Amino acid sequence: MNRSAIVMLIFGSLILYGGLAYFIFQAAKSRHLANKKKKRIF
Amino acid sequence: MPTIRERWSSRSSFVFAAIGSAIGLGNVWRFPYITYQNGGGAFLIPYFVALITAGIPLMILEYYVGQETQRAPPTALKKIWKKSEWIGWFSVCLVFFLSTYYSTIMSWCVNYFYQSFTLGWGSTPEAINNFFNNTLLGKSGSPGILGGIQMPVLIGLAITWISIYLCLFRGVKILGKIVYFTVCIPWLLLIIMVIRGLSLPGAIEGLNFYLTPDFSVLLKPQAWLAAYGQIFYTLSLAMGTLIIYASYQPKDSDITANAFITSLANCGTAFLAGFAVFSTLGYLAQSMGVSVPEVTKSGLGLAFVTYPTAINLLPVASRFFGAFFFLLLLTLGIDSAFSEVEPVVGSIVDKWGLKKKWVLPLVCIFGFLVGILYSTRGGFYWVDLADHFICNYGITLVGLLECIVIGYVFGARKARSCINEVSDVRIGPWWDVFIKFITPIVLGVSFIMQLIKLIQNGYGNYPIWTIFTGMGFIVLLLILSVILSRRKGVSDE
Repeated sequence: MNRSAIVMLIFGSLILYGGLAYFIFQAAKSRHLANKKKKRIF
Repeated sequence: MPTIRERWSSRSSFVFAAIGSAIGLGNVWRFPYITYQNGGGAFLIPYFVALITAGIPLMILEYYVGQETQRAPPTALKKIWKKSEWIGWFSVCLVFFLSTYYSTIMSWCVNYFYQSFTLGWGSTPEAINNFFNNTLLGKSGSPGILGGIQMPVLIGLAITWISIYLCLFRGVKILGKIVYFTVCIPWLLLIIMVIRGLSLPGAIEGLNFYLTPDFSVLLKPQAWLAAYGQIFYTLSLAMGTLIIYASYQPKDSDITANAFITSLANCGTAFLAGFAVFSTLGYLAQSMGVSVPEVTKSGLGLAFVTYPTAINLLPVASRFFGAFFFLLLLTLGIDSAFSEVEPVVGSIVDKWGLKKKWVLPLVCIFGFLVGILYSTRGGFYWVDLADHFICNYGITLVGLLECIVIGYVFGARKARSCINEVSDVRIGPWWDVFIKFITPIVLGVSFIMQLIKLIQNGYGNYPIWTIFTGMGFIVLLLILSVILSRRKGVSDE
């Protein structure tokens, strides 16, 4: 693959899969916190 | 007695259902081609801008409308503003007719899946072309000549509608489990297709055509309009699906992160599909001794002619990978297909309080009966015409109206504060700007440009009466939507 195509591959992957991983992490973290909160209540 | 609303079994069920609805056939056969046509890798820039300024804001809006009102699109929009119920009915009518031709395309996939075990579509590109146009579709030459019914298409259509019914009849709890399979199986198949594609000779040449950027396209408005158009249709926006799916979520569920996950998963799948498609096209071009642009096609041509040609040329396990590809299309399409039926059923149930177990089979039977038109020898042309008028005029108009209702009548700021109350990731005033200005302007410009193009050049090589029929049909659905919104329902009593 030529260099510019590789740059666009990295750029696209970083935004799409990096962004996806970030928001999945945020969702998982909030669930984790919610569970912790519940544990404290009961 | 008020009925208890159905609920998704978990947050991930909802997210997977929304992803399944968004990921469809277009991710495989449209996105890679549009990227290649509009500057290769450089197209990713307008694509991401469109995703952030229109796709994600509109998805957040639809999730909010559904979750806040706990209703299907017509009654949900009525709760937001009393006079906007017809907009919801308009989207429901459009999505119903969309499901009727989408299921016909699925029926073609069913037939190709069956043929893939024997490579029954022929061995040469001419034979494959003949198989698609004459043996399977029996094209009559004009939408005015319906000819007879093509039995293989009708059988495939019946199989598709039975599958849609079976996926939906047990309610969203079971649907939430089905979507894990209908989303994960295509991902797995896609990864296998990418690995297989990359291992073929000529694959790298194909990928160069897919990703090498031509930054001059960034100055062309067509590339920007193509990016907004692709984002708008790929995310199932303005079809009522996201509203009805979000209405099965508890009121205090997260909105923003779910919208980001759904959008990014959909776009990530399309990006990945480009590797499977272009690596195979690179191999096909090398095998035929031609350049990659000569074999590059979009839509039906890519899926039903070019790809089977490439499958025939595979050195080993061509039948196996043929079946894989059409199974990929079937699993990609089925969750989009049932997500187009759910808003229709949910809207009728919510408005008149009817039982879902009676409404669902009636909608499926009616959808199948409408689909008989597309199973005729002139059906191919009607699929093309219905797709053009429903997507370019109907759905664009619904998206525009939704932005106006929420942005100006209800108030974008008020909606944003409600969204932030329940979401882990907070959205800023940028969302108001996108909903009130950017998205409506882009949709409005796109609608007007399509209309001017239609008036000046018509559509394709179709006769003028088909244009009047298409536009007349959209107007008829508008009138029907107003009539339905004026009928009394259980929520009015």
